[in-house]
Amino acid sequence: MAIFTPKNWWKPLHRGEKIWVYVIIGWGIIMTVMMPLGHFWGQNVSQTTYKYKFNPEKGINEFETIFNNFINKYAEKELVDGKVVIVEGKPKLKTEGPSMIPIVDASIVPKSSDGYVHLFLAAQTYRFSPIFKLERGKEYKIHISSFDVQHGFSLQPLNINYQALPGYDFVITMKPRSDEKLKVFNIVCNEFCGSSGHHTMIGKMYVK
Amino acid sequence: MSNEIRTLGQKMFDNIWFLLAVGILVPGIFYFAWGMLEIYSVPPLSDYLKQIGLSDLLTGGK
Repeated sequence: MAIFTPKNWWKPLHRGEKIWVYVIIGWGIIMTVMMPLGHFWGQNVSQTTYKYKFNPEKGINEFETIFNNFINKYAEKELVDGKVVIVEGKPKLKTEGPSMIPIVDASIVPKSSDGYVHLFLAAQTYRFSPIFKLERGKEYKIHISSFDVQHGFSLQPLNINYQALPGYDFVITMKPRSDEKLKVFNIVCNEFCGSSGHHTMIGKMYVK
Repeated sequence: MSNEIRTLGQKMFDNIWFLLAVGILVPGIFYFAWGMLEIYSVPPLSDYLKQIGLSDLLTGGK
């Protein structure tokens, strides 16, 4: 069995083979350099990652707690005659679409001590929640995570792509451009998350 | 068979044990070891939220 190379098999490379080797090495270097270039000059904005725990006493993970508190505080409420509608002791939220996704107007969310408005977006089978109303020229830190399985976060038509992973919070810093004419952006799940609804998992973001 | 002197590079890449070691060590260090280091050094979200004054979001919320 020829596992071991015969000792004196070496002959100088043929000119054609040398050219081929140099082309392969050159192309390999180009492909490798493209990765950091894409990181610095690509469309994806920078993100920081944080991890969170599952709380066995509450039977809920930390992100879900944070998200629920965020929605309870800042989601738009249904009003009748200027008064908030209360159902089963809780304010009824204004929702949109058949999946009944709550809406958060980011202009009412106060800035944190780091000077940013922090928004929390959850991916779950098969919806993105909530729907944000953002303002042009204002910078936001959007926390993205998943309640259940791995989801993709693809902001269209910009083609900004991230992952939403359970147990990890990805914080992206985003600023809707002042010269941006589009008012509605869609969030598409581009990581297969289930056969019955992945293809319909589309969220929204409004920019006013 | 040639009697020409083999270059150092040629001798190195003829050595299958060297290739085996490189094949295990390089991905082992750059993917596995570095990757595990990155995963374990991810900071907790609760600390970050307390730092920026959003600790009220951490309690209740069911």
